[in-house]
Amino acid sequence: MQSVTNYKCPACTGPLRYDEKTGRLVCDYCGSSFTVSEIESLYAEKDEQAAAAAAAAAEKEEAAQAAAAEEGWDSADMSSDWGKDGDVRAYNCPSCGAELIFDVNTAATSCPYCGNPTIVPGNLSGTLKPDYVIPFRLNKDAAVKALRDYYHGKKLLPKAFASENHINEVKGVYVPFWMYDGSADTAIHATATRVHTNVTRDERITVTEYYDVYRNGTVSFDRIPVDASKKMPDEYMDALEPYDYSALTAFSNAYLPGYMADKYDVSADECAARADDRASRTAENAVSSTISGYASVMVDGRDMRLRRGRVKYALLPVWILNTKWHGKDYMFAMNGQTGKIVGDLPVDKGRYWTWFAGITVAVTAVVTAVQFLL
Amino acid sequence: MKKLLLTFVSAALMIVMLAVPAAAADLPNVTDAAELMTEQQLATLEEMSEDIAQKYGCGVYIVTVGDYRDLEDTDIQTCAEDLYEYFDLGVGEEKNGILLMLSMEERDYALIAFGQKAHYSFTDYGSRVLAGEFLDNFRSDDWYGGFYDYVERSGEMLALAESGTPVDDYAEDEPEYTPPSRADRIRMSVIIGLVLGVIIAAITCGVFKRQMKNAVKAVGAERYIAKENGMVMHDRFDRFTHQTVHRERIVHEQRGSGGGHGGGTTVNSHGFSGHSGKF
Repeated sequence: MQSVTNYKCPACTGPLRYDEKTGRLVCDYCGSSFTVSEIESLYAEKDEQAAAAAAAAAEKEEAAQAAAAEEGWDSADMSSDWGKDGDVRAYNCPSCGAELIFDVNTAATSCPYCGNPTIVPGNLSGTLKPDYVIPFRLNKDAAVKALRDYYHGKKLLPKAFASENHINEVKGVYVPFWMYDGSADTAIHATATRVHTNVTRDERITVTEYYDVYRNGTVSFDRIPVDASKKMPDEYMDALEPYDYSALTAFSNAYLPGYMADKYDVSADECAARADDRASRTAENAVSSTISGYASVMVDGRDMRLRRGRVKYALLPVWILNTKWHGKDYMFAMNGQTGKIVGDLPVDKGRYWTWFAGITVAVTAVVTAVQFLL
Repeated sequence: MKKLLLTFVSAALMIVMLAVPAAAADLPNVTDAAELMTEQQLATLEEMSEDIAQKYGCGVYIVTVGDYRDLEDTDIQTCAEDLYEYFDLGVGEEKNGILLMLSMEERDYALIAFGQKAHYSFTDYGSRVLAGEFLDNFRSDDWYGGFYDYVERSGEMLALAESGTPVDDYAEDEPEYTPPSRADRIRMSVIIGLVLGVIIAAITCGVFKRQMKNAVKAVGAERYIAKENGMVMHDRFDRFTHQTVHRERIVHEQRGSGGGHGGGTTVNSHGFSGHSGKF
């Protein structure tokens, strides 16, 4: 059994959660609030004590198991502990003691029995520790309101969809992203033309000048984000951009209480191709844009060399709602920092054809009336 | 015998053209070298033409010959133009006039006009209308009837032009307007409305449908170009290599002052309008 953490209020031992407005950890029971650094230093001390206690407990358990083995139950047919193999792990909730089963990539969630925010520090520590985090700036109320606004005015949305899709189940998730620095050396060779036309009384004279054009430049990029989670569709995470990087801060577990978080399950190398593709397209466009003042430009050749720089690991805030409608999954995501929302909504075919027929009949009636009156 | 006579008269006209100085030449309004009409008929036409010339300031001329080729011209229209210039035809300083020439050998005719007033009065369309007046007579060898119609109709056209409405295709070319019936109007309105309705409905519903999906994969990274030294150019040149020159001749089409609604008069470089053909 591995250990998990939930940050408790030093004053009343109630669970702490991160507050988006104040940027502090607050206790909903006694009203106390603490800075991220205060809780970090408090829990660093506690972790040391917990490690010593865990070592002692492990020794004691080993001795008990050895004694039980001498006269124990026959467990040869039982499956192995699911906390050690497969894609799931088992933990005990530090608040209520319930056994929690998490996906191996889960780094923060809440206990389904007592509701307390729970963190799995092992998934976000050591080499797996993110470099940065952008804390949530918009809270759940804002996310729910944004979703309701998003539904509003959608003429083809099934009426029952908005009411039945449990909009209050929207969850705040820290999504893992890789952020790539790098540059692209780009050379473009082109043939360009300028055209001058002179018209006399009897002739139109067109002079076409041809130019051999060459451009060679380097375009540098900072922190191109690529989501590192298989669970998150790339197009959704791309569409949530941009994030305001001025809010990037050094990672701390203290930002996680109250949200879900996953560690990455797609490596930086696997994601690099997407960053490369975006960088090379942009570099070519940027260098091409310096060829101006011509009537036509025909590219004869291009050369691209990508120079990969640093890669950083960051958790970015996203409010997510997964819902089902007529057996099909629909997902909505909102940038937890800027409020930008993306999602695919179901189309009510009945409404579609009602609108189509209605508009057709209305336009036909108006045009007929106008034509008839004229 | 008749053919011989025609040839003789044509030859006489040619001799006149070649031998008599232009200033001294004086051609009557009606010159019947092909001897198609009687003296009486010629006198009637001459009088009608003279009246019109005096009234409207535009000569109306008739010339008949045996074979225009005897006058060393390649086509009858050029021959008519040469005659007009050689005999200094026309009225007033602008030398306004219209000339109908018949060549009997191969039944050719030319109808030409000269001068600003003549061009305004005898538009391309009007010239064809005028030809329609006499060609049916000539095709049945009714020479006097044809020439009479020509002179009479020319006078009418000059009168119309003087009142500001020359015969042109802006008015006469349009079919008479008959308002559609009530049932036709309703049917047409419904069809137009239906087509427009379907197009507008398809566009509107397309916009509605696009609103339902906004997740799109990113293809560029413009917003991640570094703030400092985001783009550094190492090398750039624009070298002129060569040029090509294309010359296109502009064709000018001279238009007269008549019409203005797609009609008007086409005037050639010698200042004549008109056409030629067979009868």
